[in-house]
Amino acid sequence: MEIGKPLRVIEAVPVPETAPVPEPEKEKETV
Amino acid sequence: MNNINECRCTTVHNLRQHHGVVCTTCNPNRIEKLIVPGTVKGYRVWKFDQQHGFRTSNGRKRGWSDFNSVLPPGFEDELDHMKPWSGAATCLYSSHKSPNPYCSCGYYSINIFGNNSRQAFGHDSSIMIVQDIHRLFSTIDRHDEETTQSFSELLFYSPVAKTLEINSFNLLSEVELTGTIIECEKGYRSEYVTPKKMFLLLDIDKLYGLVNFIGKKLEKHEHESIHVTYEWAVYINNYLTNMMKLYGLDFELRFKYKPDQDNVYEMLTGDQSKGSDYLPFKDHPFIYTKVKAASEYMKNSDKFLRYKYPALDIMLEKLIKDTSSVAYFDRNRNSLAARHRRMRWIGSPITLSNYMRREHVADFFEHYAGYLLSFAHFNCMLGEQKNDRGNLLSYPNLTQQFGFRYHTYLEDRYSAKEVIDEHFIAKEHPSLWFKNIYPYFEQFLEKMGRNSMPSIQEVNFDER
Repeated sequence: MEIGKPLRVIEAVPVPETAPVPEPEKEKETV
Repeated sequence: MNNINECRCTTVHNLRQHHGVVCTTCNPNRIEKLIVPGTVKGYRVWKFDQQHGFRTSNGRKRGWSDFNSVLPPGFEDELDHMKPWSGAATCLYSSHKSPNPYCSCGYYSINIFGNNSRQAFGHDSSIMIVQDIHRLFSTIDRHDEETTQSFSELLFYSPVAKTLEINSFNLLSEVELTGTIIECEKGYRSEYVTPKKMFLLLDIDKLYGLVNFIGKKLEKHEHESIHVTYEWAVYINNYLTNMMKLYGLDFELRFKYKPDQDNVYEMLTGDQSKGSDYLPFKDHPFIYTKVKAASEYMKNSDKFLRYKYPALDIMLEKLIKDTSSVAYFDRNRNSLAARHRRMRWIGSPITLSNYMRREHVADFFEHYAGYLLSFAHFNCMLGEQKNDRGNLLSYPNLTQQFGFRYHTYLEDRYSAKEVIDEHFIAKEHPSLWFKNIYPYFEQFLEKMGRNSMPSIQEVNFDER
């Protein structure tokens, strides 16, 4: 397969589309 | 931003530049990789054949599964030897990590969808398919008139026979590249490659041209050729869609579309598969409307004319009378003819293209019919995603789908008692003929809990 001259060397690191959002802690019910 | 110096030594390194090999004279220092968040999208072709799937029969990559039944520590992902894209790329010549900028190793892919520059890696398979089948006629035409006509009829009507004669499909896939990537002018060499979707790109004119070529030999009307071409396209679409399910991939058959006005369709966009010349089969403005309508019209009239399909038993009777074969003159045990006959055992795949005129055509045909029926049976199993029926006679009548009649042929071979028994395994069972891909299909069914064939006892070498 002909892919031509080299241009650059890269390192592709997959990034999750949305960063996991920590669940907000439930506020303790105050009596 | 580039981190490779442009190579000026064109006279010496011209050849290297095809494969994106970095020149050590112009780039003497170590190249620091640029970190890119995200993945890179590319396109590449994988060869797929009916016997081995994506796996090449020679020079395949050996995985841990060749030596161990349990995943050894240190292997993060499960390597699947039927998927040539599983695992990181390796270099055949050296022990360095692949892809190395100064070597030509790595998984290759290009950045253009539907590129037809070279046949071997060309994205459009129609020329190769047409050549595979057209080539057969140089052998077929040398026989008696009746023999020639029977084979032409079988090839004309039967999408199963035509699909079986295709040596390999060039399946184009959209791939996601990760890890180290050498980015080049026209494409990439990468460490990891993950196919996202498979395509088969075809040109309806070329397929129709081939079918019409066979049709003219048999004096068929052009409408019939259109119908047969459409049926073939449907068959290929079903076969590959079902096959790709084993690999967990989506499949789309696409046909080239040449509109009369160039401004009707938009040019290439970001997602190249959406704006290309090749449009999906199920959404095609010409094939899925006009060709389909013509084909359905023919199909309805076929219901009254079913007898016209070639029958395997009648074909065999005709072939026995054939006198054109050059055979049986040499009685030496080690002669080519004898060696050829000895090579024929149940389960050794044989297509019309492998036929050598060293044995009688009727002997060859019995063996070939076994493989043909086995392929048809396998496709039924793939479609149903079940393998509970051991012989073709326990299915409803599929003559129209196969394009040939097979009931009498099989009934002559098996007793009524065997035929009634759904679990009777006939000699045409795919497990006997497709020794590479059928076990993979069983694994797939096993995962879904639908495998009804008794599994072969696994030998555990670790226990000895």
